[in-house]
Amino acid sequence: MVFKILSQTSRVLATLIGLALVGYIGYLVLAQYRTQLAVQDAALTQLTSDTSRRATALSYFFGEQKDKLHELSESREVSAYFENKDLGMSFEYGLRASQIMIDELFQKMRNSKRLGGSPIFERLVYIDDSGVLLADTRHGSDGNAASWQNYLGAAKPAPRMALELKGADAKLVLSEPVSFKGRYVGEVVGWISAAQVYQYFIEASAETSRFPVALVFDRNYLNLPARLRTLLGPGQSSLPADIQPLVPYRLPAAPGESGSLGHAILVPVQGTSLSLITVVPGAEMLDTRAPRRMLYTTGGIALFILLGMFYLQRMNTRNAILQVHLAETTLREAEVDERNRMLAAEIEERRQVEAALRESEARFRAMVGAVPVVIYEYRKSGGSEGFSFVGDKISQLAGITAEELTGDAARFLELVHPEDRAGSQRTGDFTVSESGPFSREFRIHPPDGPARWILATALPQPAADPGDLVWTGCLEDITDRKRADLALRESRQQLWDIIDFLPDATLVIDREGRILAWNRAIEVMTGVKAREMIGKGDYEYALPFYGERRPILIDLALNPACQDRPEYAVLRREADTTFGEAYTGSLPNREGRAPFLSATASVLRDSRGKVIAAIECIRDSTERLRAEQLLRESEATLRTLMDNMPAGVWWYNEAGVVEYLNSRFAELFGYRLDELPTLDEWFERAYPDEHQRRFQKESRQALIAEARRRGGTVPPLETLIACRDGSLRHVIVNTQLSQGRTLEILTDITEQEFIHNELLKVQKMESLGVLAGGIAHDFNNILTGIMGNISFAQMVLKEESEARLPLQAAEKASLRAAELAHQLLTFAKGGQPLKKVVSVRNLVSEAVSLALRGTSVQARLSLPMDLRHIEADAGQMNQAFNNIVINAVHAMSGGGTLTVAGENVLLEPGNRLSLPTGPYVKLQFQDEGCGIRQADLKNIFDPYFTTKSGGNGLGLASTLSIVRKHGGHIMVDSELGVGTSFDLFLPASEERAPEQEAHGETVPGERAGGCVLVMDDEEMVRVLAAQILGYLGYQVTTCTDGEQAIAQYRQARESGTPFLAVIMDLTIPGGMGGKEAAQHILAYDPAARLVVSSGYSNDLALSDYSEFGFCGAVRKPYKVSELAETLASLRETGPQGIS
Amino acid sequence: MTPLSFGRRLTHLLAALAAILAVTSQAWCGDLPQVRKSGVLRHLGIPYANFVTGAGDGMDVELMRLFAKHLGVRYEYVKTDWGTVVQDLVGKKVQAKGDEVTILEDTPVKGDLIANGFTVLPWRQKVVLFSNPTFPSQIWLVARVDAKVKPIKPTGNIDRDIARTKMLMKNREVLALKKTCLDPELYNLDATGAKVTCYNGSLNELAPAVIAGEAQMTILDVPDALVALDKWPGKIKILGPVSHKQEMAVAFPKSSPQLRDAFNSFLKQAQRDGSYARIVKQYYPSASAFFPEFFKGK
Repeated sequence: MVFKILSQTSRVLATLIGLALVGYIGYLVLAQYRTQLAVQDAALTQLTSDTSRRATALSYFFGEQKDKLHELSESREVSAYFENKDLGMSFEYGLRASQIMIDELFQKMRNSKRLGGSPIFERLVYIDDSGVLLADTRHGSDGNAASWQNYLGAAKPAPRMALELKGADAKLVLSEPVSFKGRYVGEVVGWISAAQVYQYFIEASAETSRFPVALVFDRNYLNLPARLRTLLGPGQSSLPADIQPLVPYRLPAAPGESGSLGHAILVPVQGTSLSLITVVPGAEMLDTRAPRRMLYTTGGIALFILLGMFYLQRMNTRNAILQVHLAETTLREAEVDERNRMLAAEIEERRQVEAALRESEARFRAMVGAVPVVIYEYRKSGGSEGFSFVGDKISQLAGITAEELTGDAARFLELVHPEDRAGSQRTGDFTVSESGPFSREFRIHPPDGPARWILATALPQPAADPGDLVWTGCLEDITDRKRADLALRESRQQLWDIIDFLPDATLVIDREGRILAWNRAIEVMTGVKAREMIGKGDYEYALPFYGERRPILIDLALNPACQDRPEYAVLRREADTTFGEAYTGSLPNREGRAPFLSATASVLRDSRGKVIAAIECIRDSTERLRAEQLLRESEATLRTLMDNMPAGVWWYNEAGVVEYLNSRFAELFGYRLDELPTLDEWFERAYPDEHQRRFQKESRQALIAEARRRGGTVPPLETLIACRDGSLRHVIVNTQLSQGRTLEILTDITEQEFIHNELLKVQKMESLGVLAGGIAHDFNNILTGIMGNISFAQMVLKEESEARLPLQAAEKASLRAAELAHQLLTFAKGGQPLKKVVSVRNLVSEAVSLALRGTSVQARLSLPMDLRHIEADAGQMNQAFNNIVINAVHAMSGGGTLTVAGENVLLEPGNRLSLPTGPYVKLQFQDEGCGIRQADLKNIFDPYFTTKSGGNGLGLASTLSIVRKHGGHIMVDSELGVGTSFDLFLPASEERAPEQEAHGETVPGERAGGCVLVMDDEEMVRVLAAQILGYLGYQVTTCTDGEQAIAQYRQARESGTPFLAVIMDLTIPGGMGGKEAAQHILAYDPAARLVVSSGYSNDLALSDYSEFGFCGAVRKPYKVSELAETLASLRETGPQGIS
Repeated sequence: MTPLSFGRRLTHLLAALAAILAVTSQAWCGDLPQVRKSGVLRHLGIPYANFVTGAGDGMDVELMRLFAKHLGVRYEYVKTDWGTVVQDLVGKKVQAKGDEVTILEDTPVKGDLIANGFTVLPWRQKVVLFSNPTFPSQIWLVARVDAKVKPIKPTGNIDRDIARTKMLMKNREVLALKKTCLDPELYNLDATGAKVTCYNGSLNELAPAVIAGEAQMTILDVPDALVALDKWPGKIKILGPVSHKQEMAVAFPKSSPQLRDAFNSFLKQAQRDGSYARIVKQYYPSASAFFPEFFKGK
């Protein structure tokens, strides 16, 4: 019942499902129609794309062929041919070879390029510009020039493609023009079969495309396939006129037919005149007829489904019957399954057992195969015996298989070396003994290899049958071991030979002290042969060296605990090696002296590091010792020479490490070697200024690098070095480069520089002196007029006159001007000092007290009583001291102490002041002022150099001049913020100074009389002199130069009114001066009284006037009293009177 | 050539006989049985063009290897030089002047045959046995491309061509190589007015020497000239012939006729089975086209 209900339900369901399917199919048909049109377009587009790909492949193909032709046209062979032709080579002698090469090249090119198994080019030719065939891959062809002319290029040849038709056979002709040195020399032409191209590029892909494709040249069909010919109809040989590339073209219907022939797609082949055309027949295109067909198709499907449903209904009934049968069958199947399961378990168990057994056997075999020996089992059972098992490795060992051996045991005996077989037969049976283990070494001869040494061992095993005997053992290949033993023996022998031939005396002892080796060198050294020593112990080896049995160096190496021996001058241990040196007493003496031996001993260890022996090598180092001594002596001599050099010497290595500096270096600069470890340290100290240091360093390095590069010398250089004590030394550095070292010699030229600078100063002073002298002379003349008139005015004025005070002031001012002029003259060249012995103590005291009057500076004088006198011009020296003191006062504007110290000193020869040897008075003027900058110190004695506002810069310049004129020296030292110190060195006199004379202005009490002649080129001076002398009661005659003076003197004398005196100016510019005129007058009248007068007072005529015939001297500007006094003295003393 | 007197002819005959006897008196060493007995065929070779490249191959090297295999013996190459190649074969020092030859002292024999583009020359024929020709040749005059001299225009008559070519040598430096096929005395070059210099190097260096400016011209045999044209196109030019057509062959001692005959039969076989043509094509690809008459049928 249930089954019936179920059956009816399924029928309804199936019907409903079928109807739904039919409806759905109808829907699909409608949708399909709509998409057909879209698919149609897509298909055409796809076809166009496919055709384009083929066209592209064709384009590449023809492009490649054109390139090949181009290669041929530009080939070396073609160029060489034309090259040789241009050179005039004839065909018979050389040119033909070039042609042959072109031909071969073309052949090679044709044969190498294939398409589908055939050459691409059916033919390749080269046609020269006259139409002659130079190369042709088809030999024996027509070389007629006329026929080939057609292939030559026109006015501007270019690569071309043409079509040649011979019946149905179409050939594509590619040509490439050839140029040589810019001129056209022919064409390379190749023929390609259109059919071959079609077959390879189009027909080959026919399987993937069911639409026919044709090749078109220009607009003509080539190789039209049969299908297409049928489709297009007969007589169609060219494209429709209106077909456009890449645009699907609807082919018109055939005559008498209604539908279109189909669609065509034309795709040009780039770079050629070819095109591809693909035609899609109309019957194969999805058009409007397709839906009807689809309807028929879908109707058929729907009918099919209905029939299927009916069939299914019938099937349901039969299924119910079958289900009952199925239940019964199921039960039976369960029983069978149970039985199958039990069977499978048994099978599985058996499989596992077999697998275990196989595994065990495999493991056993693997073990046997893994061990490096051949495992075997030998059985004796009953009367037979043999190998019951032999490992597979026997074949490697003996060259026979295990099967051979197990089959015939005697086979193994045949392999044993006859000598070993025979020997063992003598010693016993080669076969195993019944009870004991077995071990033998013997040789075998494998059939396929050299003899091998074998070690055979075996142990008896219990057998299953009591009467059976079983041995299990192994055969081991010990050939390598035997060889190793032999090699070891040979190696050992080699070692002994090496020891024997060592150049040093060598001995080897074992741990027990027995001699193992005594080489030839030690035989020669000791005179004892090896055969007398080998094997002996008990310090036998010590006897030749020391005459007694005792430990030597080798024993110390062998036994580190052994006490060191005192006879070794050097004894040193490093790990296993001991080094020692000593004199020996027992060896044969050389030159009467015991030799000095050096020895090195070391232990010898085995591979495990255990000491097994010791070796000692001994060398006669007597000569070496002597050489070392000589070297040390030589080094000491060199060092002494270096240390005694007058210049500083040092050297440093490439790393800049200072290795040596001599004592003079240390003395000059104050640095020791330990203070200058490196070059950098030196630069730090020698050049405190960073910029200077960097400059010096870089310039030095550059010079050295340049010298090294050129292989030349380093130029000397001058530099200032800062010494340890802060002073500067002027040095010349001479650098010598040596291998890896730089040697520098520093010569101190500080003193020379000092002297040089002093010389420069003197020269500067001299040049300025000439200038100053001229100025001072004129100035003095003017002053003479001024002062003289003032003096005269003062004389004639009454005491109460109001003009006296202004005149005094004017006189004071004039005196100051005169002093200035005098200073100038003094600094210029002296005023040549009028020296007399004076007391330095008095001079200094007066100068200091006068100069400090009215200032806030205190003086501290330290002038010993025994301070020597000097020969000096008191006025000038006073001026010098005055200038120094005035400087000190200006430096201590806020007050302070000026310390003046004096001492007697004795200057030695070669003193650095460059003063003559002898006694000097040293005066030091030390102030506490602001100090002078180091940069200014060298200039302070320069004229017109001043750091004071309002200063004239002549004070210290004149002081320097005065001191020098007195044969002395002045130095200055100063420190900013501390003070300045002037040191004066003045030559001391042996004499004492006389008492000072009182100086004062004397005015004559009564007027004198007489005639006086005044000669001066200055009118002012003449007028003044006339006035003054006239006031004094003299009758004055004046003249302007010496010649007039001579004439006037002569005239006066001849007229009976001789002159009492003649006052003569020393210098008459442009005329005869006083000195010359004096000579003339004295020649005329030796009793003439002549007085010299001048303001330019560096002439000796003024200081030593009597030497020149004068009776007196007056300096300009002169005073009335001075004039009166001088003339009065002349009256008293006569000619050449008082000085 | 002026007729020689009877005495002079007798002297020449005796000298030739003496030469033959001298070279054959080096016993029977080197002939076929001795070669087979020794098991080695010693090939005297000098690196020259593509006959013996110096790199272990060459046309003559390949031919001699095949010949040794044909004899069933081992092949051995023995390097020699142009100055000693003949004495190394015949065991006597030989002095050649033009076509005349003088036999001097004994020297060791170092080889069984000579094969390296060895030209058949009259003086050589007096002291060795030559095989059938193995390669054609001729002597050409070659100049550097910038030499102010133009190649001759062939007249069709070889003697006229030779004369015209020799005229081009006058007052010019020409390289030659003594004791070889380029020996100037063979072609009376001194009579041309040329400044002949005997090069102190190998045959292979003549063309490069001219290109390098060591001389203006050189004489070369055709195989070497073809190789030079191929190697240095545009650097040299062929001016014309200096000799008639020549042939190259393998040289054997006068005492080795059997060996020579064996080689001739081997050569025929090689020409029949194409191995000779293959070897020639390998080393001188254009030779058969250049010398069609010689290679016809070979």
